[in-house]
Amino acid sequence: MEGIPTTITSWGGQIRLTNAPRATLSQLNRGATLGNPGDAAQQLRVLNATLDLLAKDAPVDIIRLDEKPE
Amino acid sequence: MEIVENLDAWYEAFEQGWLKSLRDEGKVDFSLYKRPKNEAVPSAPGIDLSQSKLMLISTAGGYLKDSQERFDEHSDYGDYSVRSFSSDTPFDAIDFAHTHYDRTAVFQDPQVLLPLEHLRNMVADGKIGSLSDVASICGYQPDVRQVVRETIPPIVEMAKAAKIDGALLVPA
Repeated sequence: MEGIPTTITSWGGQIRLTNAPRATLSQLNRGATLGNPGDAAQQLRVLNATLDLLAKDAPVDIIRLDEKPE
Repeated sequence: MEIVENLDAWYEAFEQGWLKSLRDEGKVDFSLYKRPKNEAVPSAPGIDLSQSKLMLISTAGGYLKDSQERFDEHSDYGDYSVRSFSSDTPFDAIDFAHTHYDRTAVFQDPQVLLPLEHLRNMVADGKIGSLSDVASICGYQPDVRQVVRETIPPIVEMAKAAKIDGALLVPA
């Protein structure tokens, strides 16, 4: 976005095609990108890992998260 | 830097394949769809999130159900418009118009796609400086050229007007 630092999290491998500057990738489900419903702890793990990338100079390698559907 | 590299060539293939099938036969055939690919990676320095204004960009189809037009979730071509609403918006004011993902989880717990409470708590805890309004789209958008022409410009304008320092993208 025109020089604005961005970070993204996704469950899909297509994210590699976009060459996003900062990204996390999980095995969570489409429709529940940040975690399972009601699992605030998991949602916060994904959010924090993704937001923490904003502190880094981009581009950074995709971070794989060990987060799965329930 | 181009938002999407080789966009004209991509559109030509899209128009002759996926879009032609939709126009001529009314068929949505993703075997004819080639995803665009970028080679260059945007670079930008990191930021101190605790001193920054963050924008959430969501593709979950969220909109204010009492005051905003619902996304055209049933369009085979997609809806390329943008909604925005305050990051302070309560969840009971938001509905999700999007038929291309299973909405069971987001209706059960909106924070699986739209983490407004988590982000507000992070502001209260000092992890994030502040939040801008949310930029919300219905992320079924096969025509990437239309995304570049219609969807991205108002989001960039929102970002500039709000003087954000960073953006979090959460696809549905």
